[in-house]
Amino acid sequence: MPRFVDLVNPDLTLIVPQLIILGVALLLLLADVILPKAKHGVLTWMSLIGLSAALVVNFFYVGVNETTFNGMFRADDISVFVNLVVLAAGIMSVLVSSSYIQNLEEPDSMPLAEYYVLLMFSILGAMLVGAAGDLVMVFLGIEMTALASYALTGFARRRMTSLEGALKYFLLGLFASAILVYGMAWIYGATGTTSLDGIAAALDSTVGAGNLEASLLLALLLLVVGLGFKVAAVPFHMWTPDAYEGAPTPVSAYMSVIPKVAGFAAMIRILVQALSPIREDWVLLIGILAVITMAFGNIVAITQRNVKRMLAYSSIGHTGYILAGFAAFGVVVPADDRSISSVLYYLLAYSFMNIGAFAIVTWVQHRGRGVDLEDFNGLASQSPLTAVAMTIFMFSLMGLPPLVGFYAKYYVILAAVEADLLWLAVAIVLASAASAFFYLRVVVAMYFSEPPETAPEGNTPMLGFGVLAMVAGTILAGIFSGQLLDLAQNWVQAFPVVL
Amino acid sequence: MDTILAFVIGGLYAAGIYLILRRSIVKLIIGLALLGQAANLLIFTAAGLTRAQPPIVAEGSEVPINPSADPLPQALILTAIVISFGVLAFTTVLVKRVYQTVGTDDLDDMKATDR
Amino acid sequence: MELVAAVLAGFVIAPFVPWIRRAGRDYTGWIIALVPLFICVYLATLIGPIADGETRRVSYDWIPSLHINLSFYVDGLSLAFGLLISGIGALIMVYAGGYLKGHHHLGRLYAYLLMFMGSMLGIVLADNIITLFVFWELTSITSYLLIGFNHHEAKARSAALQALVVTVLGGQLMLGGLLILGYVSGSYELTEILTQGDMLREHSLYVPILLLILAGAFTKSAQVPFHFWLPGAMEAPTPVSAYLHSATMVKAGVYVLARFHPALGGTDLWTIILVTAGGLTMIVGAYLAFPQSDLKRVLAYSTVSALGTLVLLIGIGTERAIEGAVVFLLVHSLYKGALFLVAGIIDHGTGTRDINMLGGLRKAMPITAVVAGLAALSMAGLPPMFGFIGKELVYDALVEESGFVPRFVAGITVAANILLLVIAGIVGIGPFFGRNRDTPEHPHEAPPSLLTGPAVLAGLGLAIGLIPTLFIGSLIQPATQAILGDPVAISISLWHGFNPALALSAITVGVGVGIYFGRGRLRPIALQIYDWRWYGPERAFPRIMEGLDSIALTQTRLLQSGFLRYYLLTIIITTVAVVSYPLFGRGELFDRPDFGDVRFYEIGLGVLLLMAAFQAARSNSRLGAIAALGVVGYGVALIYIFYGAPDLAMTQVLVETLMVVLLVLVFYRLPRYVQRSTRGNQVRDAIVALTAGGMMTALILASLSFEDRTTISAYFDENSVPLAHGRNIVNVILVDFRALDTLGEITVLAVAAAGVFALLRLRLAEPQDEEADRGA
Repeated sequence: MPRFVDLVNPDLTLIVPQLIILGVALLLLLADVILPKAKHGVLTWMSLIGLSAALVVNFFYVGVNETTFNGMFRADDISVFVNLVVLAAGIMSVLVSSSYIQNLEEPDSMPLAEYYVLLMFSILGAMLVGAAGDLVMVFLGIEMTALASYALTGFARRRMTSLEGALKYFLLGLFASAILVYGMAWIYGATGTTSLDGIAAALDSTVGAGNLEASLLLALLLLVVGLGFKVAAVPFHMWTPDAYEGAPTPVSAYMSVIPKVAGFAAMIRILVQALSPIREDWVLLIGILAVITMAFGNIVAITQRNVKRMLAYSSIGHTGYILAGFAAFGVVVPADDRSISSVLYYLLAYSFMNIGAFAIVTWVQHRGRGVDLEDFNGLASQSPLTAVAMTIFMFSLMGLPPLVGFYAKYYVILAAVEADLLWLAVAIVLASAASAFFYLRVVVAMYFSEPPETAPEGNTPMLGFGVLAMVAGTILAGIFSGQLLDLAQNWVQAFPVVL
Repeated sequence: MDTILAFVIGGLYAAGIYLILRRSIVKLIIGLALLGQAANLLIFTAAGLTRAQPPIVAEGSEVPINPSADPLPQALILTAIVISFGVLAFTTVLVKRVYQTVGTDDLDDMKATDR
Repeated sequence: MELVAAVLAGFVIAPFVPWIRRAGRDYTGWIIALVPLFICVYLATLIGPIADGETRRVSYDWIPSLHINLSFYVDGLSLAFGLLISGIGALIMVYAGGYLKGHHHLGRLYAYLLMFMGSMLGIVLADNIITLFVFWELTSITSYLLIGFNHHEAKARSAALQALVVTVLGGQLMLGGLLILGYVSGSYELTEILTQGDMLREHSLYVPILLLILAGAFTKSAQVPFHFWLPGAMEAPTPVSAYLHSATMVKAGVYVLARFHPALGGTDLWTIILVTAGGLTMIVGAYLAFPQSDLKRVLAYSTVSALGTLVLLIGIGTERAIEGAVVFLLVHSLYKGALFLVAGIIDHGTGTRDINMLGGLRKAMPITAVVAGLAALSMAGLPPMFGFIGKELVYDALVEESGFVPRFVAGITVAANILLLVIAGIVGIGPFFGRNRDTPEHPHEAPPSLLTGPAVLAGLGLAIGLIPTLFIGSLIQPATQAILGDPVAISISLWHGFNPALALSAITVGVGVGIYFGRGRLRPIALQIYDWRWYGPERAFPRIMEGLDSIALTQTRLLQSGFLRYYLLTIIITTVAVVSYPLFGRGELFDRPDFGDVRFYEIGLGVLLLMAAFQAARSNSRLGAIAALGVVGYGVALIYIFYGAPDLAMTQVLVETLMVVLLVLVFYRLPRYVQRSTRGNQVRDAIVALTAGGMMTALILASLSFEDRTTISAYFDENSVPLAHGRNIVNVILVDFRALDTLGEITVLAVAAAGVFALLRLRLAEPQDEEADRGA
């Protein structure tokens, strides 16, 4: 049972990164009211500074592994890594968005402040999921992230696709949440607690080997369906292409990462922490889901001619790879278990390269072009650096060394192989081989096609800096992956795994 | 009564689902509202019904009079009611926005993102 | 340490190429050539120790948690490859300077070439298989950059895409194979894996390991059916083709096969696959080369053929065959590199590469003619060239064994060699003899920078042919030994005496010369058959793409229709299906439905709620629907009152009132109800809705079997007053025990409010909508 004593004096020192983000969000609201419109560029800097500060503070929590607020909140090595991913992704999202928003500022005002506030809440939500010690907390965090995402999706003015994408995303997400919360309710019914550790302990004492109670199985299935939606696993992925395409591109960039990270963090908290005693019943399910997802995402992406849609399907494919990491959970002794560290590392890798790819799309759009494959024609001759950056992101997404995408994929395969899941390893390899088709198509368009007559023009210093940072991340996080992997491998210290 | 409520909730769900499958965004809102009611009632019922005292501790006593209703689901539902209201408000505004932008309330006309 | 420096030198120096170019001007090529030259010299110093049976190994931790170490290893095999890569690399650098003299992006080309060379050295020197793979994929990337250098033609696009897709695809498969191999053998270091051959060949995972690694090797080395990418890659500038697509990169696959031979080779499966693929590639390549008219394409297809020969020999795996493979590897790199460079010179000097437009160039380009002649002689396998020794060894390895299959393979090999002899004549002799023809540019001799490379390569072919002993002990024997994993004794000389191999050579030359002089009549016939290739893999590639396209289109039509309600339908049906399994399939969830103890007003309330729900669902007016919704809301509030939850009822009534007000206000601005769905759709949706509703009912009935009060609730009951000093336990829970939830809830509401606010503030472009906005 969780201790109830510390309820009177919650240890606020454990939630400093979250408090910083909350504070920044409130300050942004305040600044929106106080500052004149012309000075709203300051908001971008406020967001960046806040996120960076939280990122720095976050590193003080490595190896802390404590809980507060009645066990509902955890500062452990998983939350540290999730925070790392989310905050890094947040910084990149701000960098990508700022130019876009300024660009649209001219005729009538884009609500810059609300944009950043929603972004901050969304980041906060994902951080809360990562630090959750309780089902309710997981749910709150997920919803906070999701709600902000729904609103952000509808941010492009004058484009019906934006609102349309928002509506679809929202309604389907609502459904997913309902299913998720229902699954949680069944878990609560079966174990009498919403505390993650408590659930694990209760299951450990009641569950016999192999034969799962129907009520628990039901709960498990509902949870998997609900979480499957949040991470866009096939067949619960339908909202993704519409929402990604409809949303303003910087929002797509953010949306393809942060809510997804929240979803995967929830999977770690619910499936790995709380439901590890019944892992026998879910690993295979997740494994199958992983294979379907990666196969489907990568095959369908091949035909897409719209780059944003292509990236949406590709992100479904990456969901598949990440799920494969979960499927490898709990086979070997915890100290050697790479499953969850592979998931965490993959999330970090994915956020660099995926936001990077969307950033280039933003860059191209910003210069008056569209988002179809033809719009990338001849980019290499007109803007060689941009083309090189996009090539790096495409190669990394494809999983080519020495870029971060390779190490991430490799690590997942390694986890699968070490868990004796050879079929899964081979599936990943085949799926990623198929992915070469569509990623390369972009590269070929950039290098081998005649450019349009007008050269792209525009001035986006922030975006350029962001792209540079992401290129550096994509290369460096790969070459120096040793340290990051060690950090991710700390997950085994986050909680005692009950098997 | 549990049994009757089970059927009532089933009926609410069916009506809600039927409505969200319509093409009109207005019907969609009504459907969502019905689903919200159904979900709250569901938690309430699933947690166990008693025609008992509310979970209130009388003056001068330390614990509630037995039998009293289970306080925890009530707390959860209270949260749920408020949140579902928030969500519904958001939906309504979003739908209004969509209607203004797209100029139709037919969901089938809203497939510009899919080609 | 020097090994690491040798591999990394290319990567380190590449970024500084622009400065080197600025300083070096027209001599940039010569300066840059010093990098590979130094590496070559360094490797040459290792020849002695390696021939004495030593090996060199260095290892640094890179990413220990991934088993990736920066470890390098030199034995006879790596040394032979390393010398080829760095030696030819130096010549290519010089050549490129002359070939692309004054080209705007020459610096970039040098940077790519240096990185490529580093990657290639990385492959052959790596001891860690993951490091090997990293460099393997780096060659794919750099080669892609080189193919794409200076090209905007639409035709080049699909060729480059094919080339990269095929090699990357194979690379990914090979990664899987390497990982399983590392897992099975417990080490990712080649030096350790290679000692475990016996265990690996017996292992149950041998077949997947072998197939996956072969997939990588075959795609890289352009074996049938993956051969089609190599001619496509000829869009690259000629120095690149010479370096990557004949001498080095395409041999990486061969290197991997040779490298893993001690660990994976020697089984029946290995032999069957390699001999079949190799033999087929050898003859198909030679055959396809024959009718080509573009010099570079002729050479590309003949390279395919040579790669097939190498794979075939490694597949046979006898001592003689491996020896033949090593010799032929060197032979081929020398003459093919030279011929490619000559092709470049011809292209450079005359402006065309079409062999039908070339002739009599020996007067204008005498040195080139001599060089080309020497290389062609070597390719044709005529004495006294190194090529002769190579071909003799290959024949020798084939006639060594008796039986139908070896004889058949030997026959194919002779046929392929006949064709290669013809091709050698077509490329190396044809353009220089015969009558002069009009070429786009007036033919002129090439400058020294262009001539150095081919001259050195062709000269080496002659020198080794004359004094083969120079290389046997120092290079060929250690390499053969490394591939076989056992010590061997080798003797090679130009003259072997009269033996079956010599007889086959005589046949080859006789028939070949005949065909060469009859080529005018034979090539059109061959060209017709050549068109059949469209039924082969070259056609399959686009077919596969089309197939994938149609799969994706089908899914789009079925799942990604864009209709929200179909998405919802899919979700609902999936959920119902998934949940039905434990609910009904297991059959343990249900207690008997309990209708006892029901009061009259409760039934009334239930019926009222159901009717209201039904009315809301089927109402044709907006207000009617809202009214029905209100009835449902207040009805639910009543239920809360009946069952001890007055707080809930109060909240519910408040919220319900607000909601109805909000809906009435907003709906006034929304359109009227219109009947849109067809009758059939309505029935279908009704069925789905009722099924889902029924499932929910079943779920609740199932859930009623739970304990109705939990330990946590009891805790709240007991501690509400003592700890939190509150008497309304629900409130205490919300504001005290679970205050963090409530804070979260408030935050969620705030986010929703922010969303609403932001949406309302987004003003639209259309003025009439703005008016409507202001009205709201």
